[in-house]
Amino acid sequence: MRLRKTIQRNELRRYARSLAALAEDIEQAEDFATDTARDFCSMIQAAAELIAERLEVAPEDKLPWVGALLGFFSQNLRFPERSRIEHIPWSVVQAMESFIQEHVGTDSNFIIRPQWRYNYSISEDYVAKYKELFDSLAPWVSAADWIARIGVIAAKRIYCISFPRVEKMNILTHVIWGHEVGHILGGVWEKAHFSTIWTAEATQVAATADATCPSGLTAAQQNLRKARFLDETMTLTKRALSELISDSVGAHLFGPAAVASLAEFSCRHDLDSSSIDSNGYPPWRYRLRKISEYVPINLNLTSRVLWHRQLFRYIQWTQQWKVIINDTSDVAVIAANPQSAEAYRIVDTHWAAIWHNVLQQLPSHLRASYDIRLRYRIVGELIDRIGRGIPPNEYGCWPHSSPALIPDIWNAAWACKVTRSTASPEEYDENLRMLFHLTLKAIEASHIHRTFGPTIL
Amino acid sequence: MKDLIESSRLFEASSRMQTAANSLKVLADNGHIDQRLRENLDWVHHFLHEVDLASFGQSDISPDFAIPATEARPFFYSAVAQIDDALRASGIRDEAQLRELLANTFDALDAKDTKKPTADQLHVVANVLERFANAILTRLDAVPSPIDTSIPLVTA
Repeated sequence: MRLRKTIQRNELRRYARSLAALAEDIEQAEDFATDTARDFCSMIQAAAELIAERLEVAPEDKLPWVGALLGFFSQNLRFPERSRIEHIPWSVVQAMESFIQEHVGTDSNFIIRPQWRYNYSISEDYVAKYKELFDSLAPWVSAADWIARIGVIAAKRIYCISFPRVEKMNILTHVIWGHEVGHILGGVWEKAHFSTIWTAEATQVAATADATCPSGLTAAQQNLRKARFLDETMTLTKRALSELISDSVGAHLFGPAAVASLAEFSCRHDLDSSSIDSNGYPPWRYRLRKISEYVPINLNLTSRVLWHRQLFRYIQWTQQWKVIINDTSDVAVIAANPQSAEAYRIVDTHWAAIWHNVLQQLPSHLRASYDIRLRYRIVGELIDRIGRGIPPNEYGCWPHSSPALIPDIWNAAWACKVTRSTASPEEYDENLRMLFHLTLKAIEASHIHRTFGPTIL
Repeated sequence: MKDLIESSRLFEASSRMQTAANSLKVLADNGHIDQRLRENLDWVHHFLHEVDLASFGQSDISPDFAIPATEARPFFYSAVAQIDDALRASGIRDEAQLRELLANTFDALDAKDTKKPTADQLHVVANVLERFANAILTRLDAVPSPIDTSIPLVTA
């Protein structure tokens, strides 16, 4: 019906213009921790303006796709809007961005924002996704048209990291941001390698689908079931690999602190919940077992004598989780469902090669895992500073002091948290409040020290 | 709603099939399509081949298409399972006949100088592609529908 199409086109144009204006408004805000939020707004503004200008020549039948795309862009505006400094632990944003860029490349930029859901997450790179989506609408509009409008932003990667709103100040749980770095490396790995693995395994998965097919289905039903079986198995495999790569990268970067934060987070969940019922997430017990492979620490008499007492107790605490991971009830849960059994068969078959490939993405000097056995003196000194109510931002005595590294700060802070957990509830809360403040301050101060120290001195 | 950040491949497949459906209608009316639209028809032909379970495992699976084809396949089989009066009137009674129609049409388009598909044939295939494209778009752009449990995925 002509009238309906005319209204649809006019309304889409109005929608696009309003969206561009809204993006420009948000971009004008002056309270962002970095320029990334403004870049993101510019991207959306340019995208909406481009669509508004070209809409006249868009094929009539393509308008529903344009509507879906504008809807997606407008939802994305919530990321920059919620990344204003009042909503985030702004003092550590620059330090974290710098730390992450060191591992995944300086072209990577981040918007950090709270979400109401109690979960951490990271998006894929929005710049690359917008390019793909625009190219899907060719020939009346294309990624090249959009790129021409956003200039240097087109050469960046922009990710959105979300954290639970209620944990804004809980910098110890934010160790999970290391896991989110893993998602970036995992995403690059998936783009380059996953289709090859899936291509090699799909025939076997299809055979399992046939073997588990109930009787009495028509040919059409059998095909639909097989199609869903393949899709579900692929989705489970991708999600499992994504989470396991990310956990392992977190352990690679932060050692015991990654185990501590993940173990604490897992206490909110059933350890053996099937990935079928958990949006594809691997069972927590499986994840804890996998991450512990990357933090091998054998405490001995030397460590008992030489290490700071709180550090030693902290490492003992991380090893207590072995009781949980030695139980293999998660394996039975995985095997109980044919799709998840297939997914984890693929994971187990290819894991060693996958992890090798992921590590190769890091600069060569960062391929060695964080090892607390080589850092115990520094971490011990930082624990002492926290004990005296001083931020653990540096070690040594001025003028020979050095800025502490983020992994050392986090491990010192976790050691303090773990070894104070026997206090009364009131003391526990007050201790943590102070610990969060000292740790936040330390991460900010060490970043300033490292960045500007040589200039000042 | 499945976020487009996770589903850009499905969005692409859906948009390309809609474009292909338009191209087939133009050809059915003896119109001309440019090189870019012809390349899009080739892409859709290859994509449908990868989606088709009848040819699954019989030839090499293309890594470029393996993931989007796996994601799109349930939409395709869900759509073709609903062969209605409109398709029956065109002589399509079951999935096998529909698959044969799609294959014959695209093969004939590829052959160019030999047997050309009829206008009716092109219109039917365009109709099928539009259904497929819209089924995907609806899922991407709408409130998620309840999980269909009518067909058991696991043996009891």
